[in-house]
Amino acid sequence: MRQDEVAERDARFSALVERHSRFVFRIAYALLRNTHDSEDAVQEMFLKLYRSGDWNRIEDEKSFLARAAWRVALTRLRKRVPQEPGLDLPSAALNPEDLAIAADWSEAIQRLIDCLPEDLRRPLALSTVEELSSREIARVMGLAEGTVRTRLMRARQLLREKVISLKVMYEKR
Amino acid sequence: MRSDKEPIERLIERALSDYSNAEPRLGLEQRVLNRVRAEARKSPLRLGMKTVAIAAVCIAALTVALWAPRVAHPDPPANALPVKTPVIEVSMPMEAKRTVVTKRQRHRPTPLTQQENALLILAQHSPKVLNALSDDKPVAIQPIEISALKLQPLAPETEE
Repeated sequence: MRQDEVAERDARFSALVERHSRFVFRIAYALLRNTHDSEDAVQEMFLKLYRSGDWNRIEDEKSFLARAAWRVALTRLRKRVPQEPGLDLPSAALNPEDLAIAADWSEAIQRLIDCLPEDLRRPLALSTVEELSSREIARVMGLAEGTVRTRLMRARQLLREKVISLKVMYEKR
Repeated sequence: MRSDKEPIERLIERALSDYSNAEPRLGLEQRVLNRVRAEARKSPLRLGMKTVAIAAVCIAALTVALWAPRVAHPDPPANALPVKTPVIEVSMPMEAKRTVVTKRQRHRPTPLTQQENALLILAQHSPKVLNALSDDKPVAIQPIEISALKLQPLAPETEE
């Protein structure tokens, strides 16, 4: 390959990284909930992409990168935590005292989201990343669109119930 | 806790929008690109090393194939049919004339063939036939005589 071709290819790859690294980070963060791990996942994903050369043939960049980032993050999560059925991640403290001392409702509700079952939390978390649609979430997670919609609905319902309980508890104090 | 008078739906929406608002540390793009460039620099070197390694393995395999002594064939299993080893007649002076047999034939008895087994059974059951065969005398063929068939009338049954 000629020198100018290499330079041109590298420039295009750099532009891709500049455009989407933040988005990719947020996809990874939705799953991993840890800044360092998510950054590592971003690096790993772009490195794999560069090696494979697939990035030259991407049609829908966002969708492709979201799926790739999700897979890398999922692999990292499996390495980090032993897979057990029904294991909810992350196990943030969910006792009334902790929730009461949360800076505000937003923080308290975020802790409640962290404590949702993973199959409900993941689509909910992805729905907050640049407002991904149910179809896009379904593609990223490799699920049927209907399944994603149902899970999103259940997640919101469960979250609403928990917030109501928290509000009642707070008002009694 | 602040905002405790806000409607629940709005609280949830605000929390959800904050939930994904995590930011990477500064310079993530640059770190990604640096790592990719470092990898790109390594790649040709790695490719060259792989090529050299594969070539070395091929040369070693070829050398072994050409120079290694031939491995003797394993003995056939005991229940296998015996392999017929050709017996070569060599024209020599009478006193020196002998059957040339292979090394294996000399040292290991080969199992009997089917014909030899059949002959052995025949010898055990009818030695006359075997003698006749071994003497090389023509066996006289006698005419077959069948005596006249006589049927006796049935004896009448007695009633009780």
